[in-house]
Amino acid sequence: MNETTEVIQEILESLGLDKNYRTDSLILLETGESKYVRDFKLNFTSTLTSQFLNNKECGLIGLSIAVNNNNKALTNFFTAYAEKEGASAAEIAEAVGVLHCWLLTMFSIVSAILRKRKNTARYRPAYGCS
Amino acid sequence: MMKPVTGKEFFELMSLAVSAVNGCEMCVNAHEDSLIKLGTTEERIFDAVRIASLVTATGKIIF
Repeated sequence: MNETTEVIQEILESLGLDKNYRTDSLILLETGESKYVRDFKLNFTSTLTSQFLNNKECGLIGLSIAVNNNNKALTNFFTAYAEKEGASAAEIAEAVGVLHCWLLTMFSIVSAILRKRKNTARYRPAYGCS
Repeated sequence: MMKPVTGKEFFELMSLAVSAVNGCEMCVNAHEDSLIKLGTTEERIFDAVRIASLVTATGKIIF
């Protein structure tokens, strides 16, 4: 077992996954003995600590992003982490509720309506002439 | 949201992080303006976006 495999297994275990779990990207990292895996592990560990945000806040932000990305394993991990750091069920529910960008959704709806109106206006004379 | 359980400032911070990951400049600007009005420090904003990017990267690599 090489060093990269050990680091990958540590990351998977910290996420509560089976250490033999592999995806295409993990296999590529493992076979190439990527030197960046250790950096990746350090970066992931650093997501759970911040000088300006407390651990509960870090967990809740991680949870909102994991839910936004439809990532079940990370959602479970950050839910457990936030609970461990003292987040209430209501706070967790609120973090889960920040699913998408409200303004982006509104902008998409308004632009879709405007596009539809514009298209209708453009094609009306053609239908009208017949 | 009128009265977030996590507090207005932290709710805006979470929203900013999600907007940054979704790549919506308009939303990021709107949430950033709200945060500045609420007196959030730049460091808290940077850290929220840093965490968001790292969680996204982790998700992309592992899954």
